[in-house]
Amino acid sequence: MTWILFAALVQPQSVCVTCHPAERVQLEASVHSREGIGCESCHGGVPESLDEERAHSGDYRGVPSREDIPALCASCHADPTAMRPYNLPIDQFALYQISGHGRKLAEGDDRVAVCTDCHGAHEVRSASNPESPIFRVNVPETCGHCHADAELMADYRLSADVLDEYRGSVHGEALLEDANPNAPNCARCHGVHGASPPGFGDVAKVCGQCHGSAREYFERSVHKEAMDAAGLPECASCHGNHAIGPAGTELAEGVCLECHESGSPPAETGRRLLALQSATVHEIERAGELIEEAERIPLDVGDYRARLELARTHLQEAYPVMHSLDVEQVTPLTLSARSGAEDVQREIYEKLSDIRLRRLGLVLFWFYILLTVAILVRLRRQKKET
Amino acid sequence: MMSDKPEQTRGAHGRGALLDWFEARVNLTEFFALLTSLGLFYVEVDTKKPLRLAVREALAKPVSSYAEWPRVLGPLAVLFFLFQVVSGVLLAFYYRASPSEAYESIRFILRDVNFGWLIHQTHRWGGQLLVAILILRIVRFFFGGVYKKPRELLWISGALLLLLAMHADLTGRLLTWNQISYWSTVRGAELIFTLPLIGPLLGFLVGGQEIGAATLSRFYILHILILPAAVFVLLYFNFATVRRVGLTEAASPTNVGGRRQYRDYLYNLATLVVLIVGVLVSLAVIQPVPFYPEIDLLSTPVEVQPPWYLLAPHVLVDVLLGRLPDLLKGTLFLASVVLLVLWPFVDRSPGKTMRERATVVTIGTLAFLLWVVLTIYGVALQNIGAP
Repeated sequence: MTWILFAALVQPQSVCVTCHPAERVQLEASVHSREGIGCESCHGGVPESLDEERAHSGDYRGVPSREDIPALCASCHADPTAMRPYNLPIDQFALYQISGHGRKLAEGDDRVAVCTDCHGAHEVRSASNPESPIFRVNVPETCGHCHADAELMADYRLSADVLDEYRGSVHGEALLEDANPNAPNCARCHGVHGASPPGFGDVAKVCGQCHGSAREYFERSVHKEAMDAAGLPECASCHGNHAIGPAGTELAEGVCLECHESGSPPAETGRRLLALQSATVHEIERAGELIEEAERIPLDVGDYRARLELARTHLQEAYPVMHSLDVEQVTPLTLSARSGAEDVQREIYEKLSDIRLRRLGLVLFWFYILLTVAILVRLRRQKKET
Repeated sequence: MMSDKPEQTRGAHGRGALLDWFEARVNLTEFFALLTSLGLFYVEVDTKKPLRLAVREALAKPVSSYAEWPRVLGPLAVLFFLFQVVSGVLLAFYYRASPSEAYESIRFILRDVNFGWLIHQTHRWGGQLLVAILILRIVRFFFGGVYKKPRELLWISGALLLLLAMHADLTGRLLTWNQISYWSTVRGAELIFTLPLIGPLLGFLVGGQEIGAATLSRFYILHILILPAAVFVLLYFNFATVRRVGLTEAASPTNVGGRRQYRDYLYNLATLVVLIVGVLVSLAVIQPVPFYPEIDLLSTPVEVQPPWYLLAPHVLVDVLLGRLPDLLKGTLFLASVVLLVLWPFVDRSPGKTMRERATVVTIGTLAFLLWVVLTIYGVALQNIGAP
């Protein structure tokens, strides 16, 4: 069996790492190293030679320039035969070329993102690796490297607040704090390699991928035509884009009054929708608090949690319907949510009042105790006298 | 004094007949004598006499002046202990000491068992009051000089009783197996594991350095069997020494000139029992201990705090002397416990009056005041949610 050892010993090897140990560490953490992609695949040269001059000869290209990087990566990643074993897509380069980044690069601006800015150069990791900068949860931070850089963004007249806005948004909190696997990161709306801002007309389509029901009700509402005619972005006009809040916040902040006059019928509709929503939310929250209180005694809370969840579901159903702006359609849903929560509250209050009866019982009990003490004192006196 | 021969005068009918039947086969007076050993009577019983006569004689005797009405902390502790035994047995019918069942069985007791909440809450409050009474008793012993020769054993058994009651409370807390009781035990145990000698011993007692299933069943056995048995033995010992040496010089066995009879004393005890039940039930209704959430091993709650009687050492050791190494803190704590128990041999002042022990009384007063202030400080820290 020694021949195996020997074969391993004499096998021609890349010796680049002898002079570049730091790069070796990075490369060995990457998916490329696992698949046997060596230094020469990107840098060229003669990897078997320890002689610097000979090693850096032939097709040696040193550090590839930023403009060349996408094409260099694409030499493998756009090749169907090469990518087939890994089941990887081959359209990234094509998408990149139509992206905001790609088009700017083609114009000769090399400050835009190229492959290595997001994926890393030597330490390219798989998207499913939590250490990877392109792992779902790490994407906002990765995009933020450039897009939160006020100095860099100023040249493109882009806002550098997007990362902070996203972090505080309902989407950001769901992804970064609640680790909700369905919450969107930057790429979910803007695209991955084809990254660009969704156009005005496309906003509804992008949001509608997840919020399909809301989109349907919206398209049947009077807002649809009016906003298209006015050239307003459909969802973002009311909800904003990166700093999007939880359902209902816009109504409470009086978003209707930005276009409609206070007191006008449309503003009145907004006010009624808000009233329906906030009353329901209040009752549901109160019922939740009461369940907690009852659990601490503890009382039998039976199916209360399940019933409250059902009420929450009805409210959740009401939110998309609100986009129809039809109060008649929204009311039955908020009403069943609200009455569900109120039923739970009523039943808990009944049980709590049973607990309060204990205090009444205590008064009676003390009456009995004092009576017993009086009898004892009396008996003691009598015994003494006899 | 009706008769010296009850067998003949009453033997014919009813209760008397049954009593005589037993009396002929077992010495019932011995059982009565045992009862007197638990501080409910401080009277010597002649076990050669038949029960009825012995009881009548005992009741008619004058009360020893050391058992006069206000000096009831000892009998009070006994009554509370008995209450804990009775309510504890009732709870044990429903409690199940395994990690998967303990929490649910407590919920069942509190929610579904008729008056289960009342038994559970009074048992919890009874434990607190028992500790409080034993603390008061030690404080009274200190200021009354009730540890000077020949009453060293009285003090030592009193101090050990206090320690046992605290341990019964601590083990009982864990049995509820909720987020708060679990984590407060974990925090306490972590400190104790660093102690020399006691640390490994505790590790042996709780079944390893992790609070888990083994700890729960060990604490359960400690709580329902070993600790109560030890308390029982110590109470017996404690009152045995009271009977021999009395509580004060004036009340030595030769000087028993009390005005009242034991019959009155018993009425007082009965009144006390009724009032104790009243107080416990009131606390259970007005100030019930909440039913805390289930154990969450992934999050330590912030509000975990030691029980009230450990607040003063906690504040002193953790907050004020927080920077000292754990080993030193633990050793200090251990040393103060040993000092408390062996106090009669530490204090070498000449007499037992306040004047003769001026220095010791001053130091003791300061220590007691410090304890009170630190406890209040600890409660204040709790309320503002600081460390």
